[in-house]
Formats: sequence, structure tokens, C-alpha cells
Amino acid sequence: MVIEQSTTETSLNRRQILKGAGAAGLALTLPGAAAHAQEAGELRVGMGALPPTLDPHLNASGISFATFYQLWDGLTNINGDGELGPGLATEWGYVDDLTFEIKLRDGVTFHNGEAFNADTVKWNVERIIDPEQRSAIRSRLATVESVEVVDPLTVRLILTAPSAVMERALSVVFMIPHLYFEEVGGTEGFVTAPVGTGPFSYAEGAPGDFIQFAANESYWGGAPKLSAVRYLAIPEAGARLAALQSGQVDMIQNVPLFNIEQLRGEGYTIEESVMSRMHVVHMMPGLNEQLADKRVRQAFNYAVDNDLLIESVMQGHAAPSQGQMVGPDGLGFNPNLEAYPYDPDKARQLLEEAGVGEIEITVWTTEGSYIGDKDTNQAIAGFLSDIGVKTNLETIEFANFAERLSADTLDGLNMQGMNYFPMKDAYFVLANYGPTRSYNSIYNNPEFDEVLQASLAELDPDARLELLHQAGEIFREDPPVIFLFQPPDIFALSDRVQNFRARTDARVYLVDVEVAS
Amino acid sequence: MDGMPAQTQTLASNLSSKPRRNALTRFRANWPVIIGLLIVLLCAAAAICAPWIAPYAPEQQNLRNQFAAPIGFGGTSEHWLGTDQLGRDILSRLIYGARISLIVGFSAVAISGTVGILLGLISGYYGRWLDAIVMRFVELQLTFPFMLLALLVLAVFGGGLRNIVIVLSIAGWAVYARVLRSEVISTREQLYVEAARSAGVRDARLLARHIFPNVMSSMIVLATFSVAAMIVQESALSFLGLGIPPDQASWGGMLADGRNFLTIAWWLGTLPGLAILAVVLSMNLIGDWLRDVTDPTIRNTR
Amino acid sequence: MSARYLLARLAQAIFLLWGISTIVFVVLRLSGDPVLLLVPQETPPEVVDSIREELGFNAPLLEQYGRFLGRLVQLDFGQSLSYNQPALDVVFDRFPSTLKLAVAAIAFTILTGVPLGILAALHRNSIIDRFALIVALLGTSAPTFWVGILLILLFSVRWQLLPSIGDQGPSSLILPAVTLGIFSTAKISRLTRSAFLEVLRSDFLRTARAKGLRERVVLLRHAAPNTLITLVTVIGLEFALLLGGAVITETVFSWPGIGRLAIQAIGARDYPLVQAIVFVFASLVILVNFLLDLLYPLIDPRIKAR
Repeated sequence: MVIEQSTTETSLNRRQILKGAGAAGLALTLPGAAAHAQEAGELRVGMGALPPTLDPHLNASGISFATFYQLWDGLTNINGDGELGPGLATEWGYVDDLTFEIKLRDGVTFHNGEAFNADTVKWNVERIIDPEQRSAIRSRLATVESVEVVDPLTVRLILTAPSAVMERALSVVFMIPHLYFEEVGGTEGFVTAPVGTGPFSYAEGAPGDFIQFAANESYWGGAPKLSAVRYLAIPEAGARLAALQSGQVDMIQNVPLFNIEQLRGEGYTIEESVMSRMHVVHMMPGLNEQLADKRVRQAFNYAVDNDLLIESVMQGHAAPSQGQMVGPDGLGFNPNLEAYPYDPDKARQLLEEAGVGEIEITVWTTEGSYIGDKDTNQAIAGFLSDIGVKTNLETIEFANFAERLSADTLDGLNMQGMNYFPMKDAYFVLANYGPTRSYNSIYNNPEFDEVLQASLAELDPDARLELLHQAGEIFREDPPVIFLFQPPDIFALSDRVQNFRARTDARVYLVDVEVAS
Repeated sequence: MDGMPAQTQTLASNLSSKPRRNALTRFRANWPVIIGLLIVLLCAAAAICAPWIAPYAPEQQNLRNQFAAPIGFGGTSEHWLGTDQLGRDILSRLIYGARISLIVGFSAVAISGTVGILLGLISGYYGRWLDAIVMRFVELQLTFPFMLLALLVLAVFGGGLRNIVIVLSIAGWAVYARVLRSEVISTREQLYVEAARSAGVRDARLLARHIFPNVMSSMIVLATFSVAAMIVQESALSFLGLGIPPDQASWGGMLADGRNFLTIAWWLGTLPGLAILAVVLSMNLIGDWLRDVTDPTIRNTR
Repeated sequence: MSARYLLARLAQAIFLLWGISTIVFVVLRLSGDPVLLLVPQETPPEVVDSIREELGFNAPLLEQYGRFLGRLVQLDFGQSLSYNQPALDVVFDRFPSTLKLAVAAIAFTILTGVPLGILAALHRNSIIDRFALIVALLGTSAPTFWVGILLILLFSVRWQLLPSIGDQGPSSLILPAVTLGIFSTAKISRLTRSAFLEVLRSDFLRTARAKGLRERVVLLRHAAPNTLITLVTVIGLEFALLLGGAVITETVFSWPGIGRLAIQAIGARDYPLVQAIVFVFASLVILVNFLLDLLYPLIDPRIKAR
């Protein structure tokens, strides 16, 4: 960042200071004297983290979506209620089982003026499906073999197998301008000055530290009401809170749960929404003989008092799982399934029946990777000791955690948040346990695999839904996880911010937001 | 990390040659040291007797009783010092926490001290290429920012008590080696050592009998200061999420955890913070006192 | 200062940088294969292999090490895996912020530690001396992150005087610098105190007094070089610690420096970036120590550069 004084802002503040503190010397110490002078209509947002790289094909983590959707659009769009609608594509559908046709929006241009058309789509899809490019969203287009340009506003995806989830998957297929991309020398140049079609354009920034967005006045979906947005990465929760309380930012993401009441008391608005994400504890039956017996895994589910967990650790800000991997906001939710009730006696009895003897198990816990992860894991360990299971808690750093998962050596319980956003479809979360699973030890149920596979190929929505329900039933009966809850996405806003709504899909949707001057 | 005042490097070391009575009177006059020793002994006693004196098990949760306040601040005698975010008893965790914190502090100092002293003795006594090698390693260690090394090693190999002690030991040994080396070099030239050597005393014996006792006092002073620094460092590692597993109580871990609740339940972080403060203060008072009684130049002006 | 001396120092610096880079290399390679973390799940094995090939992770360890050294000599650390930029560029982007923070922290340390130490020495065993001792002990026993959070709560939230996030100009430097420096303040005040005490009880002070010179003048003239040398020594020793402390300070204050970058890089197993960060950190420590060594003869003519 630059260290330069903003003259306008300093002089403005001086009057207030002379009036208030009566000490001009203080001018230097006030936030107003800072290099970045906030303009009218600018929104400053304190984020827990920002993506290190601004190439929307290379990263698909939850934190990235909060940034990516400001700059880029997908071909389709899923709104806050989970309904599918048009994005950069206006119409789509199967021409035959292996040909998916997409009609594109006319007259869209990128922030730099480059036209968006069928060539753009062809280049983007080809880049994503090329394994050498290591795209994080490649698996979303796993069945796409090639792309054909029909006319400037029509493309066809040629598939190896029909996919019922194609239209939803297209919502994360972000479009970047290929001429510009090649002009600036590929990824390395692109990420320093990214260009998209989204409601905001990139003004400046430092990777992983801050991003300054400017409103895209000619956004195809209507110009945003804000003039600019500044994202600041503030990793430490207490610092994020302090930044809001001291007026250095207008809103913060990922509010510490235990401070919510306090913030409300101080006059801040809390905007929250349960996310399309399910917190579950993986039991890794493939790595532990005692857990191979499904009665043991059922017992673990009976042992956890999920309601108490939500009430205490999550302070009530979570929605309990109904014994399945998606909530009512996800396509494929099965209303007939029920959560495992809290029943420690039943749990002990099941352990007895399974006859696996004394169980001693490691509980791996990350710290700060998921909301409430450390406390949740400790509480789980506590519930399990109540039914006589011996638990050893181990803290594990997230990369190490992911490494061990990839190597399939993470023996023990491990809590993860399983996303079904942005597609909001049960298939995407169940696929982690089905035939395409990355870690074999996570689950292995041939019946489940078969039903899930069938659902992917089933293009009739009703029949497909039926198959997803069936998969959910098998999954609950022979659970590889302890079902917990959908965590919240929580924002705290100063009274300057109007019309902001928290979403279920980790997006920070700012097009309608206004700030009072 | 090193908590290492430069004047220890110039310490003359003749604790043994002074009359014992002198030290005792000094001790009586120096009441802060007595308090310091008492505090350390109290913590040690708590650590040893934890299972018998702690009212609850340190990991025992009660999710229905989160953030109970300490007695005198609206709490009840059920939990004298209140409970944390999982309803665990703070007093019990402080008592058990003394265990881990003292183990971390003392064992890291013991390991780094032993390694450092051995290498320092060898390097100072034999000189030449052995000295050159050891000193290069000392420089290497002092150039490598500790926190980076700790982050790297703990992230890659995982946290936990053992690894934390190892990392802290790695960070600490070089200072001992360097201080000891310079003391050995100056002692080596002294008459009685020369005499012993010419009388044919073997190297190992010479080191153990004549040189080591003479440089010991400065090592003890140094170690006293380091114990405190190690306990504080463990807290920093917990802050970065690389500390002791959260169900086991350690003061550093409790302090790091408590930062998130500072504005809603101050006792979570403040109480372990006070415990750390008390021990660090005590160790420093003891260290200061040790330095004063073993350094004749300071004594004369006192 | 002879050319020979410079050469020796250069050789030492090269040795240190080689040693440190090697340690990091070994630790990182012991951690296993980062490729699985770099590629999205469901990447076909043959693609994983080709990426491994491309990044050189499938070669024998010794060959990897050789290649690493070969590029190290050219200061080429490769592309950062998470930032998609040359690793050294990413580090240098953040470098000024960390340097600024470190310099400000040292300035704070000296400006508070030295006067406190002098006062304590002049009024030895008085209330002032005890107060200085207590300040020093509080400084050493309070972990950096705790000090930082308290300062934020008081100066940013309660009194709204100072910014607490990021590098937004001179005023945002104050809280992080105080947080980072306070640990060393304790040490420097203690050392200044003893440096002064040494002069107080020395013979020339007695002589000077006998000559009728004013005590304060004598004290300052004689104690100054002593104190300066102590300071220079301590800063040399503390600098590496200070940079390490920056890891925590930068996290608390969302400071865009290399300390925070280090956490991200290690968390993402961004090997090239980790190597570049450690290399730059160590180079800085070596450089600072070299410059301080050059200062000794300037402060005290009795000491000559070797």
C-alpha cells in the first residue's frame, strides 16, 4: 500500500478535531488521516480471508466465491433462494443426450470492453477441462468432451455421458476474457489486473490483503448502487470485530458467535443465514476396523446431543441436519428423513451389540478452518466419552489435514464442512462418498454408489429426485458421518449499510446494497 | 526467545568461593525472592498434586453452564474461578495447566541447556575446528527467526507437547553454547586449570571437575530467565493454532483461547495470564537474585 | 576494515544462507508431497504425475536438492504456487511493510527502553527503579498477541484514536510497532541500567568527581558509548527475534507484511514462497548484523573492525 496523505480527508477531519479534542496534533493519529480516503458510496468490508490468486478457474474454495462473484459471472445463476436462472447464458437444454446447447446473452462486454461471445465460452470451457491447467472446477464439467461454436451467441457442449447437473454446474463456470488473458501473458499477468463481466471491476489490490473494486456502471444486470467496494482481509476475529467497532470498516463477515449479542447491544445489525453447507464428523470406516460395523457409527450419532451442541457451541446460530447431507434449501432434500435423536443408552446398547470391545479413537481438530470447529470437536469428544469411547484430541493444521486426507491416512474422527453451494444440489455433496470419491476410506457402500450413479444419468427431474432421496436413506441408515448442522454465514453491519442480505452460498451479494453518506 | 541479558556473558563465576552465611543473610534481606520462590514452589506443588486438589477433571465439560463467572463476580462456589466456553472449570484447568506449562518451560530449558552447555564446553575447551563447527551452527540458529522455524516444523510435523518442547529446545540451545564457550575460554587460561592440566588431569575430568563448576552459576541464571520465556512462547504457538491440544489445559493455550472472549468473559484469558505473569515474575526475581549473589562486581555496589 | 575481513563476512553470509535454505528444504521435503494439495480432487493420476514431473517432485531427493541449489545461486525460487507470481516478487511486494514495522518497533524500543534504564540506574533501588523493573517484567511476560489485542481494544475501540487494521499510513504504524517493540523495551531498559551502573561505580567517575566536574556531565559522556554498544549488541541479537515476532504482530493487526505471508505460505504448502520468505528474512538479519558491526568502531574507537 501507499503511504501518502490524502489532503482532502485530513482537512475535513481537522475541523472536527479542533471542535472536539482541540488538539491538531491528533490529526496524525486519526484513521481519517490514512492513505486510503473513503469516498462517498464506498463500502468497506472486513473479510476473514481473501483468495491469494484472482483466477476464478484455479480456486473453488468458499472464501473465494465472496470475491469471484463481484468480478465474474457464471453462465447460469443460482439466486439467494437456490433457484436456477439465467446468467451469461439465457437459454440452455439438451439437444440430444450427449449435446447440451447454450444460448448466450447478447451485448455483454468485459470491464475492458472486450466482447463476450461464443468464442469466449469455447476458450473458457476448454481451459477448464484441460487437466494440465489444474482447474479447480474441472470436475464440475467432468463429462464435457469438447465445445462447438454454432454461431456468435450459441455454443454446444459435447458430452461423454448425459449429466443431470449440467445447468447448475454452469453457475460456477466463470467467464474470463481470453484475448485480454493472452495479451497480458496468461495467469501471471491476469491475476495482477483481473477483468470480468461482473457487477464490480478490479481497481487495485494486494493479493490476500485487500481488493478495491469499482462499480461496473454498464453491468448487464443493472448498475450497482455502490460506487466502490473495498475488501480488507482481517484474519484475527477480535481484530475484525474491533475494525467494525472503531468504524474502520462498515461491515464484517464471519462474526465471532459469542460476540453477536454484544454487537446487537451496541446497535449493529446482524445479518445471518444458514449456509448450504453441512458440518459433519467423518468417521473414516475404511481406516478403522471397529467402525466398519455400521452399528458403531449409528451409536456415535445417537451419542451426540446435537441440539445442546447447537445451543451452546454455536449459540443457537445453526440449523440441525435432518439425518442427511443437505438442508431444506438443497435440491434432493428428503423431508421424510429424521435426525438421529440424542439417546446415549441406545448408543451404549448398539456398541454392546456390535461387540467391538473398547474403542479408542483420535479426534482431529482444525482451528479456525470452520466456524466453531475447535469447540465442536471438543464437545464431540466429550459426548463420546459419555458412552465409554476413549478419545484423544489432536490439533491439526489445515494443510496437514488435507494432506492426510488426500493420502487416505487420516485415521480418526474429523469434522468438515461439506458444501453443496453454489449448485445447491445434493448430488454434489453426496458425490464425495460415491463412486467418484477421492478418499476410499471415507465410505464404501456399493448400493449407495449404484443409486447415486443412476441419479446422475437420470434427466427426468422427478425420477432423479426420487433416486437422490433413496441415496439419502441409504446414507442415513449406514452413516459414514455424524450428522451435525448447517453453519451460519454471519455479517455485522454498521447503520451506514442498507439492503444487505446474507446468502446461503457464501456469496457477498452487493448489487442492491446502499451506503448512507 | 533467549531472555538472555548480556551481562551474564561477562559474569565472573565464583559462587562456591563465597561464605555461605553471606548468601543467606542476603536472602533474608531480599524478600521478593522469597515470594518468588514460594510462588514457583506453589505452582510446582499444584502441578504435582493436581489430581487430588483440582475440584474437576480439566477436560470435563458442561455445555449447559458456559461462562459461569468467578466467585465475587456473580459466580457461585461450585466454580470458584468460573467456567469457560465449554463449561469447564477454570480453577481445575489452571491447576492442571501448571503441569503442562511447567513441563514445557523446564524441559525445554533442560534440553536446550544440556545441549548448549555440552557444545559450549567442547567448543570453548578444544577450540579450533570443533569450535568453528559449533559456532557456525550457533550463528545459523541465531539467524533463523525462531517463529518461522516453529511455524514450519509444527505445521509439518504436527503440534502436541513433545514437538513443542523440541521446537523450543532447538530455539534455545545456541545462547547457552555461546555464553558458555566464552566463559570456558576465559577460565581455561586461569592458573589452576593450567596447573591441573600440567599435572596430567584428563580432559573429561578437567572439564567436569574444574571448568564446569566455575561456569555453572551463569548457566543457572540464564536458565532461570529462559523458563519464563519458554512459557510465554508456548502461548504464542497456541495463538497460531500450533499449541497443546485444546482439551489438555495449558496456561498458554488458555490465554490464547481466552482472547476471543475478552469482552464477554474476561476471566477466561485474564486468569491464566495472571498465572503466567506470576511465574515469569518469580523466575525473573530469582534470576536477578542469583545474578547479584554470584557477580562480585555488582555485589560491591549493592 | 580490510578486504580480507569483508571476504570473511561474505563467506559467512553465504554459509548461513545456504544452511538455512537447506534446513527449510529438508523440513519441507520431509512433510511429503505437496502435489496432491495443489491439484483439485478427482484429478486423474496421470495428470498428477505430469504435474509432479513439471514441478520436479518426482526426482530423487538429492537431484531435487541439486536443482534447488542451482536455482538458489541465481536467486530463482520459482513461481509461488498459491499466488501464481514469481515467489521473490511476492515477498518483495510485502517487504517494505515489514521493514517499516521493524524499524518503527526498534525506534520505539530505544526511545522507551533507554530513558527508562537511565532513570532506573540514576535512582537505583528507588521507586523509579522498581517501577522500571515491573514494566520490564510485564513486557517480558505478556505474549505479543495479548498486548496487541489490549492495545486495539483501548486505542481503537474504546478511544477511537488509532487505526488497527492494515498499513494505511503513518498512524497505523503506531500500535503494531508498540506491540512488537514492547518485548525488547524490557530487555533494553535492563541493559541500559546495568551499563550505567557500571560507569557509576568505575574509577574514572571518581576521578572526574575529584576534578570537580559535574556528575551528570561525566556520567553522560562516559556512559553514552557504553550504552550505545550495549544497544547495538542487543539490537543485533534481537533482530531475528523481532522479525519472528512480526509473524504474530502482523496477524493481529492485519499488517500486509512477510510475517503474515509466511503463515499463509506455510498453510498453503507453497514451497517456493516459503523458501523465498525464509531467505529474505535471513538475509535481512545478516545484513543488519553486518551494519551493526560496522558501527562498533564508530561508537568506540577502542574497538577496531576485525
